[in-house]
Amino acid sequence: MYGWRGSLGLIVPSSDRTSEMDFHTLKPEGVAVYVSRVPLQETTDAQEKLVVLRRMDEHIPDAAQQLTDVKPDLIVFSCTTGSFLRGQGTDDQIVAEIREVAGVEAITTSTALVESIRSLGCRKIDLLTPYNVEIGRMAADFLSQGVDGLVIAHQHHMGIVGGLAKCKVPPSRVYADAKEVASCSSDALVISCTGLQSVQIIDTLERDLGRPVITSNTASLWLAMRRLGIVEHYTGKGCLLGSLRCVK
Amino acid sequence: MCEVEMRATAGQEGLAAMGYGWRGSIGLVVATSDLTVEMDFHALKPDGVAVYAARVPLPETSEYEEKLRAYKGMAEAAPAAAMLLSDARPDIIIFCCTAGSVLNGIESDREIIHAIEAKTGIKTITASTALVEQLKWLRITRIDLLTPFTTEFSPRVEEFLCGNVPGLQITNRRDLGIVGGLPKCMVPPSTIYAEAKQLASTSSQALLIACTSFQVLPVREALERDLGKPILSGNTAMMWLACRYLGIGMQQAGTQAPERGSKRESATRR
Repeated sequence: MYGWRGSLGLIVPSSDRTSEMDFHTLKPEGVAVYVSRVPLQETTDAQEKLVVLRRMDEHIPDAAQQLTDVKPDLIVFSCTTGSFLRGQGTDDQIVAEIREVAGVEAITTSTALVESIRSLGCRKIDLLTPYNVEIGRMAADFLSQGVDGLVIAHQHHMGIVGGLAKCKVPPSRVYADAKEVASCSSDALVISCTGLQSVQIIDTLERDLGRPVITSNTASLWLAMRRLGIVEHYTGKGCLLGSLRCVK
Repeated sequence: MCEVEMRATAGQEGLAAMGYGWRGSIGLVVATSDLTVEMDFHALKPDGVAVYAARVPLPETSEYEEKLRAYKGMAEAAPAAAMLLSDARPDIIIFCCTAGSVLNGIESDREIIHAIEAKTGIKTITASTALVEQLKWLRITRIDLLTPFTTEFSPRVEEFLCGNVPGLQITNRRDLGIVGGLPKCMVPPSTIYAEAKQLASTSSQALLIACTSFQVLPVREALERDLGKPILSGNTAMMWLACRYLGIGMQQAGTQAPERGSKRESATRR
């Protein structure tokens, strides 16, 4: 039977081609994943992007409602920008909304990034995002305010506005940009955005950089598994997921 | 590791780095209470094929008349869910509900297909379309039919299949009498196996198990071997038809009919 060990509801932006594939690819045996979508209107205009992201917010309760029938153990709001856009507390507010509508626990991607940076004990990170500089800086602020004493050593933002365009960045380009951004002194590299395809190269990247790489989707899957109390022995999917084996 | 294995591994690594859906992508319009179809598709998808889902409300009820209204409402809401999917640019959209696509007679699926295609501009199929196409392709004309539906509802499935597949006869039929969506997902695969075995007649060429929520996949191959005839199910038929439209050959169990011995036999024996 599907989901005998646990089930996740995943709320994804309508144009996201990556996060549900990452979740379905990485889900442990006995874990089911069910998706609902929130409309994220496509735009290549940076100012309009902020407007459509805020508009997406309004649809989160509907999307959570659509997941109530499948009775998931946990709902994941799978959008990094959408869960830090209004600064500190954005994620908590979304979690509260989902909890109220669906009556189950929830997490967001940006919460998961903060928790995973804490869990690995990182003091200094490099940050790679597909966003434009304005949204990229918001991501950096959210993380450095969320994790006490965290320093962002280097950051690089690819300058992509469209949602679909972020999903179409080849993993090989993520690899190349990641190597470029990595500074010699950081403890880890964080790759933000649930739409960016990076799981394919995470293992190679960690080996070549010699440090952990945290991506939006590995972070939220990791946090989801911790919340469900599921221990999976991941290999080749990054240190963070690999750390689940020794978590009590 | 032999040379051939090494080459295979190297090739796969290269393909993975190309990202998801380089070969094609499928969008699923899924009933809110369906726990099975999304998971089946992710289990069956060939390499390089991406699967995306959007949900369409199908309010839970155990009352028959109310259920009919719920199916109608779901069909009406399907284009809006398909619009959400279209943002992810799938190559094909599937309306994943058998009952919902046989509701109004033999044109039922075409009505839904037109509504979704008109809104999204993306090629669309439904669960019932896929069953019809697979039956025709295998040239099967005598089937046993197992459904989770009530005996009140099932004649609509029969009418749809027989109205669209020339010469099709239903040899035996058994309905488990379930109205609610979630209870259909909860029927243990072992029960489906037992019911199917009991139902299968000697003269049928195939056994068709309707309903996208039904967990047929875990027992499908065992049933096919034990009964010695093809098992057609909504989810494998949809995956098969979608891949045909995308021009993608399939290796997965039950989805590439000519490769499965029993299916080829019954398709050619005729």
